[in-house]
Amino acid sequence: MKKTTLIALTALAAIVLLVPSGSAMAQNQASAQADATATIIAPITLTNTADLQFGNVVASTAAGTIVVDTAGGRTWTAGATGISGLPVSAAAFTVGGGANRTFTITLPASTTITNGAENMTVDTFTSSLGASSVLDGSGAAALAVGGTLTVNANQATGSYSGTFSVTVAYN
Amino acid sequence: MVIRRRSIQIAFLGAYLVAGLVRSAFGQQPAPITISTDRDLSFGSIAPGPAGGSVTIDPAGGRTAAGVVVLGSGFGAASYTVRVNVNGGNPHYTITLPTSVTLQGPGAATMTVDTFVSDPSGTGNAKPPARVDQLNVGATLRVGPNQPSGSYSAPFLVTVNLGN
Repeated sequence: MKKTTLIALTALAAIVLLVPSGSAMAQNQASAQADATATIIAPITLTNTADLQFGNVVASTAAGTIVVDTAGGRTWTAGATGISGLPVSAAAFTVGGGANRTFTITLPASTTITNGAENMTVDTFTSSLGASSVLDGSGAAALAVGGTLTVNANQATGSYSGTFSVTVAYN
Repeated sequence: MVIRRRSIQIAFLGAYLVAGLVRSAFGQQPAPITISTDRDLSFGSIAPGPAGGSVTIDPAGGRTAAGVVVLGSGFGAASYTVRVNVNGGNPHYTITLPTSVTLQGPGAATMTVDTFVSDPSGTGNAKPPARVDQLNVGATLRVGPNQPSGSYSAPFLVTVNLGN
């Protein structure tokens, strides 16, 4: 019986000693865990795969325009006439980036194409995706750009070229 | 032997009951200070640039970026509820924030979060009668050049100490 009581008291003392020290000391301090998170999206990219080509154009004594739409179709007005013999195409681009992300498309107001000292203006650029669009589930989109070439009266013959910039950005 | 075994059982049962009473007398008192997490710290979606940059979430939840493009609306400061369970006075508590945390991303990719900032800053005051305070924490994320795409995360600890 004595041994039994001693064991019991020892156990009791051990438990009693543990309880107050455990509760009174540590609880003047408390910590909480939270997560810090971030998602990195692939940077948006734009790759040119085809040029904007107005093809063979015949000028006249009157000014006119050649329009290439985003599907690559060509129409003309007034003193300019499109004829066969050279490729006609809309500019083509591949947009890359994060899946299902929206982006904006910015086209130039105008650009000048030249042949030596001679020049013509290209403006009224058009986008197959409008002013903004969405990348598909694999993070890609195809963009086509058309424009309007103004052919001056008595435009000098020759091959004219120039460059223009298209910009895409996440929004 | 039967009597002796029963005595041992009774003695241990008694010790167990007394210890339980002692435990409840101390243990059921509310802790002097507690903190619980209400919201994680989220930097949201980021498109990195070729030179890297940073994204800062301020304790109010605002987001600013340098050198990278930030997207979407899924961002915010971490938020905590601090409760002080002592009577009398204006119980102050001190706030300890991490120095830096390394977020783990896809593969071996990592990003560092540092410059942790809290509101209140340094010391809070869980004023009576409620003795409850909201603690918000922001920080700055360092984005590397051409940081690999994917989800990054890591846990971090915020500690409060009851002071006077």
